[in-house]
Amino acid sequence: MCIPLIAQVVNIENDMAEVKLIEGETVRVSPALFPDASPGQYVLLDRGLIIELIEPEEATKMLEFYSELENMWAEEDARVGI
Amino acid sequence: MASNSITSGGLLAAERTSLSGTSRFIRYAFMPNRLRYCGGDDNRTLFEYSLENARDGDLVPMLRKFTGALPYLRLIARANEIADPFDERVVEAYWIGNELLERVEVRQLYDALLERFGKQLQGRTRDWVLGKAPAGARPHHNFHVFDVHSKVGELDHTLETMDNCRISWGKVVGLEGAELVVERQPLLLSDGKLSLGPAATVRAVRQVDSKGFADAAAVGDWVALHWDWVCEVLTTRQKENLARFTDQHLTLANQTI
Repeated sequence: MCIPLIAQVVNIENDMAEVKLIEGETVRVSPALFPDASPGQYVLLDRGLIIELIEPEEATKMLEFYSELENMWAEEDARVGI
Repeated sequence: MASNSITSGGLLAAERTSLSGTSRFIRYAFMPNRLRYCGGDDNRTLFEYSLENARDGDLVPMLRKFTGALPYLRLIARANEIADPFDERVVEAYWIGNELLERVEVRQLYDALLERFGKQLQGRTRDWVLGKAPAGARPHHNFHVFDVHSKVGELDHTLETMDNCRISWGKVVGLEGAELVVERQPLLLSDGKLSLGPAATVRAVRQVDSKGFADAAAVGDWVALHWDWVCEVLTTRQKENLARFTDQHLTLANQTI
């Protein structure tokens, strides 16, 4: 189970990438594994690293999956009363 | 006097009354959240909740944003018939390791999600979010760390991240204000395999604005470390469990690297 964060590259400068998270926040991460990442691309993040470049359709599918997981777990929490 | 009897979850009775599960969760999640690697943007609030050892209706929604950890906490809780995934025994099992992990494997989570979402998720997307769990892998944070990075490859690029991201342990050899000096074994990559090297002296932050989770640490104590942050003082039992589950998951990771 991985649940990497999904983000879009805003800028790459001085060996660091500025990326915008889906929630809207902008953070700086390392593009060391994908030095050819470019602004506009969707990426997966794990603990400060770009770990994969993904297509926009893939990002959409993953977001749908995350949303369904959240709903499933919210139902589970409601059932046990937390 | 506190009893030293072991409870069903493996926690000493004296420890069980001292720290809530949510507080312990934040102690470990605090620094990666501060670095914005996981969770929401509620870092300062979470810190205060943990210092106060408090839990209320506003806290749990903030903790639900830790999407990497939550599936494992839920899995551990369910397998041990514990309703609350933030029960202190469950939280300890995930970050440090304890007997609750003996009753559950990560594979159970993968299989359940695959059954429910397998048709929806295909190919590379499925590999990223579900992956495969090697036999014997437990829902421990260090499995999560070594597993994700074994998928990424290029371990020389990710070794430092893995070393910071795993929960490690160190022995306190000096106290210097907001920092501790500790002896800690670093993660090494040698001949393409991961291992822990000889202990080396490093500095770790234990306080922000003069407050932290190991203010009473003393020379000779064992402490848990996460992203150069001192999460808490460990008991001997906890340190041994952390070493055991780290070693177990390093061995598993080395089988697939």
